[in-house]
Amino acid sequence: MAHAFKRTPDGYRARFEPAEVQLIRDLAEDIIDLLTPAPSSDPLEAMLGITEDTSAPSDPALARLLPVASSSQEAATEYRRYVDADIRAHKIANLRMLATDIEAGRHTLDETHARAWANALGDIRLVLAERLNLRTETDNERVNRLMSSENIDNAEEYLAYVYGFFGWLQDTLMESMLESLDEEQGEEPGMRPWISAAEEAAQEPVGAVDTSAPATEPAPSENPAPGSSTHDSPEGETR
Amino acid sequence: MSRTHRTAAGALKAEHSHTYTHPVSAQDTDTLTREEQQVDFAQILDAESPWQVIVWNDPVNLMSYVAYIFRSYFGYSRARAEELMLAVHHNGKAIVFTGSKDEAQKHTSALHGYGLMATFEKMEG
Repeated sequence: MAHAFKRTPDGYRARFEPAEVQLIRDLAEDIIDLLTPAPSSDPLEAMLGITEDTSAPSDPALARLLPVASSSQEAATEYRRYVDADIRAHKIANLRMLATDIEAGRHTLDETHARAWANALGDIRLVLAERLNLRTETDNERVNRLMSSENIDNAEEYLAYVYGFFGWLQDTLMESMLESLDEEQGEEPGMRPWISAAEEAAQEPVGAVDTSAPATEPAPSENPAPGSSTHDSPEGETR
Repeated sequence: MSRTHRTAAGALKAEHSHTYTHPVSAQDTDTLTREEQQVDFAQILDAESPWQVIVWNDPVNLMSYVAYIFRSYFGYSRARAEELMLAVHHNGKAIVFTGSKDEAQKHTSALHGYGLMATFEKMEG
């Protein structure tokens, strides 16, 4: 199974099983499709990156990726018209990098690729969360319960498991990238005011531990790692 | 509580009750009507008044991710980034930028690119 991201002299390295590579690639491709704009009736406008339809997307997942920008109707409409295309292109580029890297077996990332992966993994999580109707902190608790169920009995539990997997993966990448930032900015390594998903998972009893993995890594296959988010989980507390 | 960053110019009045007309030569009045000249100034002043970028809490984005963005994109120190990130988490939102409309729009689009919930709003008063 996947190994958490770790900093190495060559970059941020993770390891994935073929099934995980496939999953990640397929999801990235799906979201690229979602983000690809519909053909415009005005080719000149399209070329200039101007969006014809200034209403918010009807697909809730797409609407989450391209949110309303202001409570000012005028500012929001202007934004949708002139900025939307850029945001789509930027997200598509990040997802494309993730998909091609992972399929090509490029699982050790330099800063550029790491940043693209960080953003792409985030977008994947946003779409999965929308499909899980995860919009409030209460929804978070519901999804956490689904994630921790012993067996995957239905599509929703599977979705929650996958969501948890991506949360764990993104979190280990972000923690590694923050370590690099600390070094770069001369910050003291130290405690963070939150508990990372990886630490949380390490504290919980796991069903079957993969004994080939170092002790600090969770075993997401038996006990899916919780996707930590900006909420306080019932078990953990922010430091 | 989150702190706002004031620009050196200070807060400008957001509401403008005057309309301005500037002296035009007889030839200029062919191109713009008097009303169009008046609207021009109001729009310019509007764009220059302080706008704020607000990051809103959402149940999906990781604290580690939000903190990384605050540090790498905005260049906040670790302490400041963590402070802002906790403000978002505990207060539901935090103001991360104050400045011109153009800059506020640009930062909002960057934050949307990263997947954050962000809006830009005109400061009142």
